[in-house]
Amino acid sequence: MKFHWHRIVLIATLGSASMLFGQGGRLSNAAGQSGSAESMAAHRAAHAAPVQGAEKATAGNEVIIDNFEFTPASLTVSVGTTVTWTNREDEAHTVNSTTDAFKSPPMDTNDKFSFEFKAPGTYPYYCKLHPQMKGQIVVQ
Amino acid sequence: MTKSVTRRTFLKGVSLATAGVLWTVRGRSSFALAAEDAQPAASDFTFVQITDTHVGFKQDPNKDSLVTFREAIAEINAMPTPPDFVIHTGDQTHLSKAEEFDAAAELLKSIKVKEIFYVPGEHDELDDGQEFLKRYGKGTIGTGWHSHDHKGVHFIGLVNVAKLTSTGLGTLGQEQLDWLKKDVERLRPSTPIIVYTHMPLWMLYPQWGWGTEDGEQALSLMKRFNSVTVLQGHVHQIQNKIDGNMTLHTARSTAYPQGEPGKASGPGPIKDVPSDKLRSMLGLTRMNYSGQKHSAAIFDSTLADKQL
Repeated sequence: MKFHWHRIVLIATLGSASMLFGQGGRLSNAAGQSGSAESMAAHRAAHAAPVQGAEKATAGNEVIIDNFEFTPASLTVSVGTTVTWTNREDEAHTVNSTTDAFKSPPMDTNDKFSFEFKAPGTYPYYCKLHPQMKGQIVVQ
Repeated sequence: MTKSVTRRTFLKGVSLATAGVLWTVRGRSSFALAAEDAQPAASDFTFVQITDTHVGFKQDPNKDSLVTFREAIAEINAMPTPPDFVIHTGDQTHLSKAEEFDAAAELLKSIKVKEIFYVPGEHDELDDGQEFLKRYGKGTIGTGWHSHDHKGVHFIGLVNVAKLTSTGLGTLGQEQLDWLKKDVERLRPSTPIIVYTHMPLWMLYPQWGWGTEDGEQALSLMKRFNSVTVLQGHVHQIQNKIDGNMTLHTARSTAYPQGEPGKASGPGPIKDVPSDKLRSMLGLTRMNYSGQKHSAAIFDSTLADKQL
């Protein structure tokens, strides 16, 4: 190390009464503005799967975003399934396909994004804000 | 990384009551050297860094980030000596929406200052930087990088959020590094340099993506200078690193605090902050240069202090 003579000096500051400067201007930032917001229920109804299978398919159509993770990180669905991602976190996230097959708008807390997978294949995706967050949808 | 942590302790501040902390950045007395070089000494001036205003954020612990943004601006406007300019180091908006940029601009124009310099944060780049560049791209290069000289000090605004790595780190990219090399090669080593950018230029905590993959390349281009200060945001808390003649500093957000590296479960907002404590975790940074005393100082003030 060449040198390090950063000196630390303290200066006392006076605490003072807190003041608020107006409210107002709250942005309307509605949740659920995803492009293909096809509800899973509607989707399920459209596909006359057996009841038992439909129950499982419903649970298997969802990806939860929380704690900087996609859960499940890998989801296997059948062709024609609409997958819905829900952001359960106070941080914003996105769902971006690495091959540009799909791309969510920025997702605020409780926003949802849905995409229907029409062709078989493996679709890796990530969060544009936090690319260390990765997941994949396997369509069979 | 061990080196970084050890050296950071040199800058550990102690605070008196609710006092703000002043870090004096003497480096190798760059201004004294400047005088020896018979260059014009930089005169005294002040500027303010505001960062991570996250207009559009409305979750715990701050249901309306515009209110605290306004308080921060009131602090700037109440300064006894107005700053020469203000620097906004990114995450101006939460989701890159046009209406968020509009609301931010509406507040920013109420700052009583001649000029505001901008670099984007990753939250401003969700539309690949279109809105940001439309508003703040004039006179900049590439994704918004730029430089200017002020009273003998060379200022450089870098963009490290246009493309993140697969591990979440920021990048500058070769084009910007090439520009930076050209930008600084004409300067004398005695010229004080102040860089401002959004994500930490050093590897503060790569596990959370808190660093810039090619940041070291940028820093190495500035190693020959006697005094280099790098001002950053992104982490919503104060962190420091000193490396020789370089001082790297991150400022508080005006919107919400984030957890300390490794101590919190992740890099998101600290949700459970009592409302009477929130403002002690939000703030602004002021930097004073004194050409007379050959010194520079970084001063962090919280919204609770109100003593910017």
